[in-house]
Amino acid sequence: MSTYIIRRLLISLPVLLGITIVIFALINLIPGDPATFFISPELMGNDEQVAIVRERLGLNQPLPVRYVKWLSQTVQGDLGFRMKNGDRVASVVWARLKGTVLLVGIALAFGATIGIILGIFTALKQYSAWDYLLTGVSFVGISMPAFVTGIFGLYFLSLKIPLFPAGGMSTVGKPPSPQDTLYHAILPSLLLSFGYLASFMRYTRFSMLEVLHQEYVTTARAKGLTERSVIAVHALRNALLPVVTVIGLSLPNLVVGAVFIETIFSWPGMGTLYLDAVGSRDYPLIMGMNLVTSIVILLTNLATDVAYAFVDPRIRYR
Amino acid sequence: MRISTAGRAAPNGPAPVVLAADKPVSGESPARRAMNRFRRHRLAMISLTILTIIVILSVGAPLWQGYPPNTMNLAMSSKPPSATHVLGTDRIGRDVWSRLINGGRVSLMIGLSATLISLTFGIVLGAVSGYFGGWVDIILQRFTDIVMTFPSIVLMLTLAVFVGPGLLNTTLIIGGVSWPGLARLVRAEYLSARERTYVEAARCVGVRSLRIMFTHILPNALAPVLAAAAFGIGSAILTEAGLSFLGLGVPLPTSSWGNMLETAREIQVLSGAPWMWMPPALMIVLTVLCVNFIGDGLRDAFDPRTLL
Repeated sequence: MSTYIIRRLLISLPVLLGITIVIFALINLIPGDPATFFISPELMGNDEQVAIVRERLGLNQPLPVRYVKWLSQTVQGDLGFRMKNGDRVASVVWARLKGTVLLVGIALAFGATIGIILGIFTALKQYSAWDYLLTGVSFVGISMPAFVTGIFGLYFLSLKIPLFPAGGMSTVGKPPSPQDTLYHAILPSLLLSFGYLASFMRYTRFSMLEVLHQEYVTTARAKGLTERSVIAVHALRNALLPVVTVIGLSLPNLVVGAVFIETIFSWPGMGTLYLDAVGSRDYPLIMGMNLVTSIVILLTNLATDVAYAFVDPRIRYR
Repeated sequence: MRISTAGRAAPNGPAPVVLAADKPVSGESPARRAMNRFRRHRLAMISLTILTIIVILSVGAPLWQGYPPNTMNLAMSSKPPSATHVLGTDRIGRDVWSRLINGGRVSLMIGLSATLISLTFGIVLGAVSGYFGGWVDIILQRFTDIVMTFPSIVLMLTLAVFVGPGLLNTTLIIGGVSWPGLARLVRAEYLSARERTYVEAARCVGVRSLRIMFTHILPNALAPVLAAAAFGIGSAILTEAGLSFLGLGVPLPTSSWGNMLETAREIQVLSGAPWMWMPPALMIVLTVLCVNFIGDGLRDAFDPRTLL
């Protein structure tokens, strides 16, 4: 197993290198001169000033040279500074990452757990009233974008019936505490989890139904096993295999999966930071965030493959 | 908010997969059979009816808008629904009903044209990749991988900010980012089709590759692709609404369901004037729900394995 993980990690390295090239190229091919960011509008026409700034920022050097410089800094964990206020990109991203991981983490855990349970339940009760009702609700769930769920949730559960705070991460005037943060996270997380719940339920139901029609399940029943052990021991394990992949595919959302909910609830997370970064064309921040995002995606893909090889003994890993 | 454009493997089918082996062989054509199957999908038929009404209301907006959508009337600002303004007015006194149906035009048009773009990309890239195989396939698949690796929302936000808001830009961005799923699907269809005898026969009599790809194989591979494209329309409408909601999509004064919903980001409007944002929110959900049900019906209709 460990050789498999190491091998996969080594394969990921060239992909990561490719991604850094794409990120760097994309930012530099986009029209607009970063140097103008540092020059007051009155001096815009002044080519001399622009040239001085370009010289100081190293923008005069050829692209490959700048790429290598950027890469060597990045490898050392230095993502540079925000253009907006000079904060270190790495520390800003790290602070915001925690906010989003908390929000999406709760949403994913809740959505996946309840979704899988409901999916199994509806598959076992296929064509019952419960099945139709829950399948219908899940269809609404996948058709309802987070910004609509978020807006309605904020309106009904915070403004009309003041159960939850309307936004932010902590109560104004109170010292920040884990309980307070959690209290602020509940409503946005639950609203976010609705979409996850719906899609996990659909995947589990489908996968469960498919397994229940397999011959080995019939065989298990023919052997005289109780229905309980047929389902819990024989069917469930195989039915949940594809769901593992779906969980793995949702993990990248931990980084940028909550742009809308974060915007609606003014939650300081990666989504709102990214909007801020692209909106103010803060190039180092955009590049840093893209890099962090792609590393997380690569790692979660790897974790998914490893988890899959672990839970499914039929998969051979070398 | 990514809605999968997955094909028949996605768990959207209401019925389990049951082999129709013991069904008597009918003499009807595949297209006719698919149509009959679709008609029997009750939810899809209801959705088709509702969607038709929404489309007629939107396309014919000038006929029943009552007020022009962009004319301000500050004397009538922020008025709740009344006899003169069915759905009330917005903050600068524009009629919400008129903006809603005119916005529907924009949202539906972007949804449709963005899907056409991604369908074109998806079919061409998927067909070339699947039919030729070899290094062409490898290069195209790695390219698809890269586009797919990045969460589409990140890609779209970045592009939207740098090319600027606008009807055409929004359409191009959505279409240009959402093709990988379709390309995968088309590629899989072509991989299996190119081994079939009718393709071999066509090759034997000297038909050119391009002709085989698009006049011989494409009609046979189209059914699951069209079902996936239906889901794609739903997803494109959602994406437009999302971008406009963030102020990066359709620019004012043109209305779209997304930028009407954007007004709800102001807490006064959200809490005090629900008539301004609830109608577009409900229209988005209703439309996408209908489109998804139709996609579901199409997939069941085209999939010979499902028994209705």
